[in-house]
Amino acid sequence: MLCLDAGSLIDLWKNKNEPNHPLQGLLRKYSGEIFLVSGMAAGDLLEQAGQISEARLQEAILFLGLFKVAPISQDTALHYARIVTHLSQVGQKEGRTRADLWNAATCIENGATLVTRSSHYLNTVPGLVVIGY
Amino acid sequence: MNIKTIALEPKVYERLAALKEHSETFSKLVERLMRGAPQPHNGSTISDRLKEIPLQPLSVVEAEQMLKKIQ
Repeated sequence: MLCLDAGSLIDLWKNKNEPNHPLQGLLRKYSGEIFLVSGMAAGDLLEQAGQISEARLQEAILFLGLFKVAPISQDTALHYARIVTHLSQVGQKEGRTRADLWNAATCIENGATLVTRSSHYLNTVPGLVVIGY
Repeated sequence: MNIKTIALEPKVYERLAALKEHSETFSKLVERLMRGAPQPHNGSTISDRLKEIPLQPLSVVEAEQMLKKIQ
């Protein structure tokens, strides 16, 4: 299972007609794997599409429908808390947004690999497997 | 062995049981039936559906505007 963050979703939307884009390559490479989006990333995408126009918001709804959206559960919250606590204790919380950390928690809960362009910020989260592009 | 229990309506159970081969377990039967079922959120389906849905690619300006707000 792979999990795309909001940045990856935006990149894929922008490059939907570019078969050589790395994200298109990932869809082909992991053709049998489920692609997941965290509730947080889904919210970010819809919010930003809505800021552009109502038409873009409607397109974003269609686009998101291609992915499995993972709800934020109490287990996700617990993973989030543990990640934040660990990174704070080792002094590595700097540079990571709340959305990054919620995405990481969603991935750990679902056993998914995170796909992100900001892989360098998240490589040190314990238990998180990251694919950068 | 770790197992999960599911509830089926009697009519569905009868149909499923009729498909089961003599030496086959219900788990193996469901697994066999699922082999041909489309997986709605896998890479292959997303790749195909991406070409079909009415979605105009984001422009560079739109993508940058969206990325700036989420970073």
